[in-house]
Amino acid sequence: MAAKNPAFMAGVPELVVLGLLADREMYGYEIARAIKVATHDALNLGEGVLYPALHMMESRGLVRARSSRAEGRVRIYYSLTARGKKRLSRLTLDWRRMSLSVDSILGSPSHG
Amino acid sequence: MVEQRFGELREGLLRAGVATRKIRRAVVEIEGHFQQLLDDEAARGTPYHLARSEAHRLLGSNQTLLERYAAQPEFRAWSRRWPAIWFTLVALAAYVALSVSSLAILHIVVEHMHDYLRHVYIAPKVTYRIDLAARIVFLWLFPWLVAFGFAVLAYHRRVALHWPVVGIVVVSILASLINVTVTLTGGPTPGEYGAGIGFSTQSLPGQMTRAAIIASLVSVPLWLAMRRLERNYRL
Repeated sequence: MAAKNPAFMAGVPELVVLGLLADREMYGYEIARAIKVATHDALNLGEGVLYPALHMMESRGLVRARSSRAEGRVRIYYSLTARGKKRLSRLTLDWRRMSLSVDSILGSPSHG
Repeated sequence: MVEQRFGELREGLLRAGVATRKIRRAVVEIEGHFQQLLDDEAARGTPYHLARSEAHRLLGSNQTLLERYAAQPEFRAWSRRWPAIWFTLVALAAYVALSVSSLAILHIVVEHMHDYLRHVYIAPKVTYRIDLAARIVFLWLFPWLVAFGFAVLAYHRRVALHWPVVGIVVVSILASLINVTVTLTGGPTPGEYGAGIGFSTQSLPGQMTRAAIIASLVSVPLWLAMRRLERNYRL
């Protein structure tokens, strides 16, 4: 599991979760499944640790939570706040800048 | 097995100082996640025991979750952030507030009964019993209630035993130094009441005995409850 998430991935889980929530509100399990499907299991967050991350984002005002009952279970749905949207824009910009820098060193994948 | 894992997670989070509101949310969500993982595996036809171990693997260990929650100071309960303030100053303030507000209520009641009391005769035996009841309430019941309330809080928040014990002792000592007198009489001078705080070497043994009794009445059950908890959850 650790090999899939090297140290330079710090901050990526937050970006990914905020990115998913930009489209629609989701609950924890949905977020975990969406990450799995979208990344073809390349980004292994560890499904349990998604919750402290979500709670942290909530306490920092990046996401808001609402409780709902479905199929006899309590589900907490998360959606982006205005602050969360700003944070997502900044993190996306940082990520693109970093990605371009690394690409420029490594060269185009087609030349690799 | 499932209940045990989430019970241990809850206990671990409490010991890590995470606020109970956050713990309730975390356990509900993580347990719900686990159940959905189980349902998914069951839908694929995976036998239950394999489905369960896969769900545990995907969820990750309790230890990892505990570390993530413990690393965030925002998640900590107030009583765990500042236990010294909470279990000494706040406990003392609670006792003083309870005593002062009760004396204020007593004052209002006597003021309302003033005209009535001027026309009635209250037997000395009744006056004595009212005074005795007031002493029991102010000098025994109130400090015990406050100390007990903070002991329950300490137990629920899994605060290290020495903090509530210090608080209980401090409240008990303050209560032992206080004197309350309520003299409810009828006739031309109805109702006298007063409270005072004093320290005298003559009455010191009695006051300290009172403090020791109140402190023991709360500290010993708290110590026993925490010991039992320690035996039940060895994390």
